[in-house]
Amino acid sequence: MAERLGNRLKEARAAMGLTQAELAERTGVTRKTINTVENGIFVPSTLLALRMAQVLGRPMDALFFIDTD
Amino acid sequence: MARTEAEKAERLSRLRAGSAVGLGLAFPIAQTLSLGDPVWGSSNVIHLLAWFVWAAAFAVFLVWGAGLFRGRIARLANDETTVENRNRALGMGFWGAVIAAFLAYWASFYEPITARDACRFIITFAATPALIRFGLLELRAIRDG
Repeated sequence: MAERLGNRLKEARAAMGLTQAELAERTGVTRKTINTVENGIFVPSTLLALRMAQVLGRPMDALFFIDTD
Repeated sequence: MARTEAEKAERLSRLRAGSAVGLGLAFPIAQTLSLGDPVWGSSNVIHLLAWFVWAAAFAVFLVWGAGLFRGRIARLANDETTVENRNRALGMGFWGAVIAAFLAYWASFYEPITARDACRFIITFAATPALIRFGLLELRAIRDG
């Protein structure tokens, strides 16, 4: 059974009314990094995941979860 | 209109990704044309200079990565995704070099190969997939989700 990192980043970002570019600016990365994390292409480092959670005001496990196929 | 640093970094990333693919496609063509005896009677100095140009281009695209930019723009242009993409591309380049080295060794039993041509062959097989993969991974990441 394959496991991957799922996320609710897009929903949390939309709930705060932020664009990808605005979230990128606040977390100190580029929009493409936010885009790839949201689409499950890129698994962020713990540091970046914590920064995203901090900016979005959510606990880490509310943003990221283990997705099993 | 003034661009923000993030916009400049994204523009740089896009330009770098496209250039990496272009360079990756041009490199094997240039190397094929210069295999064996010089086609246009060029001297060793010209060949050496051409190699320096290629080496500088590889350093910019695969190692250095941010061109002439410094500070926050350079950090943004080399953020986590780019570092990951670069590592994946370099990994592919490594396997390309290993396969090319085996092929050159095997071919040397049937056809005499000069050390210079073997080096070119190996570097071409390492650099071409690395550059193209880096460019394509970056372009995919930049594409709107």
